[in-house]
Amino acid sequence: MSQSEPELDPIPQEWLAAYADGELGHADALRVERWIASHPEARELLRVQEAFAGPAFRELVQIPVPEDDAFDRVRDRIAAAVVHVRPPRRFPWAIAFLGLATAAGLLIALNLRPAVPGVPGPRAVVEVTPEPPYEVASDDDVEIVSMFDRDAPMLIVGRHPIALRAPAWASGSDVVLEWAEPDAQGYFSDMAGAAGTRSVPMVLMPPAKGR
Amino acid sequence: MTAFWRPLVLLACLLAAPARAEDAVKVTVLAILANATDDKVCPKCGPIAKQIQKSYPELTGFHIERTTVREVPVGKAVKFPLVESAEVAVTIEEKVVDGKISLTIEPPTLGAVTINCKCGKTFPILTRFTTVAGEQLIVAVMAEACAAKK
Repeated sequence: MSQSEPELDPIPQEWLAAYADGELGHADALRVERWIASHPEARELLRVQEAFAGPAFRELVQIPVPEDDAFDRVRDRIAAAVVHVRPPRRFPWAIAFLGLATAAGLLIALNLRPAVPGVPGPRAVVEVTPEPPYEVASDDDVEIVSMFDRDAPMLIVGRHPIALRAPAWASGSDVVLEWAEPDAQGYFSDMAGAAGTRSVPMVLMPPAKGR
Repeated sequence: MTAFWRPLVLLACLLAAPARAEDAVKVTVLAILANATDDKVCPKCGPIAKQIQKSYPELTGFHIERTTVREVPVGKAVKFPLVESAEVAVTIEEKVVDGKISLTIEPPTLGAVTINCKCGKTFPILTRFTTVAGEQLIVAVMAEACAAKK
């Protein structure tokens, strides 16, 4: 390219192929020719494009077009090669369903039928297993250790603690009073059933005032 | 916490967790309502109703209003809801001695009752609590720790 000639705009790459195929319009074809004239290094590329566009190349890469009935023939061959598996028959299920529905309908109809006086109608018996009742403790299973006496009548099982062992009251001969301290006021507790009186329970009583 | 103490604390937690689980006793509390107006006795409270009717024949209808099952740790009072606002506190005093569990029950309107009851047996007690509908409350308590029988 001489220095005096103006710089040509680059042409799109695909124009070269289109030019080689003779697909460009006259104006565009002239532009390509001018551009190739100013870019001799592109001539080799154009030559290659023209070689691909030539009839020799078309023969080389000619893609066979299938005949119109080719698809039908291939489909028939595939169909012949496939082993047909017979779908499971739904008929037995339908029979079973119909049988169950009929039986259920009969049961419902028989139960809804008005009872004939004197003739017991058939009834579906549903057996329900009852849950076992709670096992209640017996008097021997329970030992009442402590409770308020006022609540004793509310006991359902078990015996009041006092009933388990009758109290054995100590008598005067059962106890030896070794030491007794006076209370804050200096009084001593009084004792019923003093030593020697065997039959009387010995009870420690609060001090009597004024003694 | 220092790196030295961390494994020791972790070990203590691991050892303590099963011990707590072992100390708990499964307690079932039934809130049974009795009335003198009908004679319907629920199947599960049949034996209890029979026992109650020995002392209170005027009570003829029985049904379980509420059942609550809880794990009760030994020595700790746990409250069980009954009916309306009523509840019962149950404390496991001692786990199992001679096949019996020692427990204290504090039913509504009654004072505390401490009993030694055979494992898996239900201890019923009548209360003075009556519902708005006029039914009398019976509290039934069952403690189970039979796996740990000594």
